Amino acid sequence: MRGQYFFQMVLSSILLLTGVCVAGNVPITVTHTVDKSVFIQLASPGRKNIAASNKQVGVVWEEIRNGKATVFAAFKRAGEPGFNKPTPLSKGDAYSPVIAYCGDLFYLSWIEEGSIKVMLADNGQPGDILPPAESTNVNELSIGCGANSALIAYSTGNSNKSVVYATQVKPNKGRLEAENSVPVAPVESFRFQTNPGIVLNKGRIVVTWHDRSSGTNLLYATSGKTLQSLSDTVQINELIKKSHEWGSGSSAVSNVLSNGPKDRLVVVWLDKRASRSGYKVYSAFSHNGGLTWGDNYKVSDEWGDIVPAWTPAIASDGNKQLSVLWMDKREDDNALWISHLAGLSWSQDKAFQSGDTEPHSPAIAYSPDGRFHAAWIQKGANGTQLVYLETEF
Amino acid sequence: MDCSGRLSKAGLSLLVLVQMLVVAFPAIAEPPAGYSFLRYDEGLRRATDENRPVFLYFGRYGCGFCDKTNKESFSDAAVKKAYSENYVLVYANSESMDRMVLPSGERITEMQLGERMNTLGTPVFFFLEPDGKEILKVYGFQDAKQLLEMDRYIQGGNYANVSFKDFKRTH
Repeated sequence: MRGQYFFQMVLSSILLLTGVCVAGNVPITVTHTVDKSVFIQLASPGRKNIAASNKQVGVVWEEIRNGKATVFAAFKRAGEPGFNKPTPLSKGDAYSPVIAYCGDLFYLSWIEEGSIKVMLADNGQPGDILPPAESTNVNELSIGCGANSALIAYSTGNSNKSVVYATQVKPNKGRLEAENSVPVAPVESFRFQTNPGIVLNKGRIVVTWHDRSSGTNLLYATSGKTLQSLSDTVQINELIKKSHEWGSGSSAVSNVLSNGPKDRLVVVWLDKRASRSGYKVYSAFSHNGGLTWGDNYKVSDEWGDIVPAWTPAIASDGNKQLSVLWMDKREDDNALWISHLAGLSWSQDKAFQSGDTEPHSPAIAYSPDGRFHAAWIQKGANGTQLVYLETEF
Repeated sequence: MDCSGRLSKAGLSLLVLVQMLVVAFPAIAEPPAGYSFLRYDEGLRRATDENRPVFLYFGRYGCGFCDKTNKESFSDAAVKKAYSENYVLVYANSESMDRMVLPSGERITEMQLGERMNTLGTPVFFFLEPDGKEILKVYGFQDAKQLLEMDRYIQGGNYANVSFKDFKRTH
């Protein structure tokens, strides 16, 4: 085993030193302007900032100037060398942009001045904006695919109370229509619901979120055939509690959710299980549409144990591939690491991107044909850049 | 990967009971009582205006050693006097998605700040220059004596010439 790890370390070191990605492809720039006074954010619950069909890929992000952000989108057609000119989607202060490819349509959504906006992108261009009812004071937003629809989960509230709601948006005669939003769990029991994820699995809508009402952040799920028939709440992460000095126990944050091969449902999150170690990437699987969840499995390998992991992203082609990508500094500098689901276990970590550009904040997607698409932020000559890479595994 | 973990109604009732107890005895993810801790962005602006160093405390909900530090160390009168007088005090929840605007105009969450500052665990304490440049980073529970030792290291300007490890050995 030691020889195996040594070989992997040598291989990883070579990749890091050369600063190339695993597949050897060269990333291309998505953002057109590089300005030290403009800051790019690629962030949303579930890290749903990129989506891909077999014909095109779309990316959504924030550009922040003087503390206020504008949400942008850009698309690239398969076979073309670059992205089209980024299109500003928002007029007011905006954040948490997400995108999903569902039923041959790209849905884009974001929060603008505290309200949710949703639109369809037609031929790579944004369409009409829909403000779903009841969406005010929205803090976070995530998206998933329903049956010929987009599922949207969002949190509203403040530091004293936060509630996760879910809704469904679908086109009807050229317009988008939204169902009434429903709370996913009783606020009397779960007063601080945050960081939602949402997906359709085995005919059930599954919503994941975190809540700290017990004293530490735990990961929960609720599911149902419809939003109006959500089940009892299920706790997913294993709570590690050693003694009173360890407080309320381990903590689970930043969950990302995806359907995987063989209709398995997979949730990945950052888990902090000891005071002297940082967050590790953990996973759990459900085989029955989120009703119950299995044991927790660590995704990152032993080489990742020495440093905290950050910003996990998950994607699957729904057929063969399921991958998790995150950032950590095990080699001192920022690097993106990837692990693939291999049968019932996770592969050893592989360096996906590294080097002087200090890559961070990744978002990933698979297109149905199995192509892997990744976007992330890196350091450019005059500021931060959003870059993109397409590859195969 | 057997399936398990669904909460029964009895389990949910127990959870609600536990949470009621938690409300009565809340988990600490807050700075110690009696101090004027600011948010990171507010603290940096004040530190620049007043040209004072920053003491930055990263905690999280459920962090037992944060609670212990608050109760056993920050309750010390000498610590309270030194830290209140000598620093702009800043507290960050390492798991918070609350957004803040940095002096540069960038907007990030408190958790992103923790990522940038590579916070391995909580509690973690930073001493910063007024512009945010890191001077010293210390992990874990610190008793009152250790906190006062750090204060002497920073206030005496020793960090310019000697590491904290060497400073502790010789003082």
